[in-house]
Amino acid sequence: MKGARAFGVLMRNEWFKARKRVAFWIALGFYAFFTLMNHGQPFLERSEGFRLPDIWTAVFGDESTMVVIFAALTLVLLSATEFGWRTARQNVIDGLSKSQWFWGKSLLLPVVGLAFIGVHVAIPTLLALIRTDFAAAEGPLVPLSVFQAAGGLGLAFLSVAALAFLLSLVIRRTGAALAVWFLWIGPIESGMLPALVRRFLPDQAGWLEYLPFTNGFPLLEFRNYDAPAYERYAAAVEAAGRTPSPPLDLTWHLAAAAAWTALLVGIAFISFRRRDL
Amino acid sequence: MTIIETEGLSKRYAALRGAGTLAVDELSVQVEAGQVYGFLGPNGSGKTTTIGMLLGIINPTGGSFRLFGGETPAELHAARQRIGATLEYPNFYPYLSCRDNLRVVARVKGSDEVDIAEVLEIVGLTSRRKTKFKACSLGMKQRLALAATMIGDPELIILDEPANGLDPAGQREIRDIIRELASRGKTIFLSSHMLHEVERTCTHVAIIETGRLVREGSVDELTSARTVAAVAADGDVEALRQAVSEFEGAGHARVEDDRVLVQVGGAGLSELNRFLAGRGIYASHLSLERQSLEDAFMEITGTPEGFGEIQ
Repeated sequence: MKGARAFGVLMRNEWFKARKRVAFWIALGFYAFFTLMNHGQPFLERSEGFRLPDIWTAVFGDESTMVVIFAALTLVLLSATEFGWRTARQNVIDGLSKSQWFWGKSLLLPVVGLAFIGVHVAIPTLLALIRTDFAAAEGPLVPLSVFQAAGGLGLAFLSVAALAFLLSLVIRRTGAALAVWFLWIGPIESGMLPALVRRFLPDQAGWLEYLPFTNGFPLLEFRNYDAPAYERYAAAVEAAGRTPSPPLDLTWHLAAAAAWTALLVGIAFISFRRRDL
Repeated sequence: MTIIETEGLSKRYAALRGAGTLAVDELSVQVEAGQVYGFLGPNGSGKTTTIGMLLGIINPTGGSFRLFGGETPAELHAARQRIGATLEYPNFYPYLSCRDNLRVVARVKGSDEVDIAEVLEIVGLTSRRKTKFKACSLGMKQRLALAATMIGDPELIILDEPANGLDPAGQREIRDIIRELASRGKTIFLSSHMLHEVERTCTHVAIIETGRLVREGSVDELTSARTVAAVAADGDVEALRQAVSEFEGAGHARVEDDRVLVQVGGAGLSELNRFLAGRGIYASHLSLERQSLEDAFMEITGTPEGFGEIQ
């Protein structure tokens, strides 16, 4: 089994296993419900900004952190259980090489990401469509910056999910992998590590914003991709008597997200190849 | 044609402290096409580790092996497409049905749906094809594992304790399936504790102990080389055992059913009879008996009689 055929088989098998798994649909359904609840109130209250194209600021923002967390959690669920059930071992016995098993499983990163980000974007977009007055709308309803923001969200997800994927393959236990992942993105990356660096290496604190989870935050904000959205944000902040933060150049954050994804998946691959199943 | 060939194959499991555990120690065995090869050894002797190395899930730390003559990673990967195997317990997705689990296997092996129906029929699971794996009994799970090994019509079938945990009826079913496979000309590599079954099913055996090969050969060779003298006499059987064990060239003498069984090497029964008579013991029964594979196994491995794992 080589090349395109191998890729096709791996893709079909992973999707087959995922779509037959109730836990996958429960997680996705729960996130859909969460998203519906999140946007339900402004939709029902016919809030000012709840229409196309204004909705994009609400779709791509701080709340997007939740989609990253939900999707990464589901990824751990779909990966680490293969070790508990010893099906990873059996797949290799049945004829997959260890590399094929690994790359097959890593296909879950984009697949799970697309499924959750799809739900995250589709629900508010559909609700906003209902409230949109197409005759009164100014400019394109779906500007190019929406796709850029979706790409940024996808990349932010990949870098954080790659860490979850690495932990799943190294720890090989769902609960423990999730616990370590939450420990990292929570107390360690957002608390202890910055505190230690600022205390002992204050002049090195600049790179803290490029750590896997922290690096993703600027990538989630629609205003960092869309000039009119930034202007609206700046106007709102100034109206509140505060100074808006300057527009961000995302180049380094995008590069860091891609680098984290490649590095973490690469470490997972080497570790998986070297260890016995 | 040599199907499996290992040369000085070794595996040492690393430990945080010390030198670790040597699970397989320079193992060299050969399995030829068409053989039903029994791979025997007490628990922890390295059987599963050896099979794991052949199947690519455990990395060897020394030596080499060839499958269907192939040795490079690419050749081994291609060779593994010609193998159907199950290791230790049946490992399947608990939320998938029997048939869906076989679909996953079939895709990996590049096989089709027809194969699935056929192998389910062979192992008698057609009517339970929609049962989820987690709801299967142990017997069904073992049969499903056997079905999975048959998908794609592999030339070599590797089975590690295929009847583990089964009742006698289940064991018999598994034995019948293995015999059926053997009759179709498949090469079978079977690791088992069920020595009676191995003796009946296998053509060749290898016995390993603490990771080392201690004996390899045909079942006939192994059992006929172990002909024992059965001696009975009136009086104290323990005194008889003691006297027999002092006979020149005698192996370990043991008491079984008021008789003493002993390997007598090149000497004949008449020499033994003369020896005993010289001690004032007159045998009431003297015969040569062929040892069973179980006896040979216990003698070779030094496993005490009544060893609980042997079924």
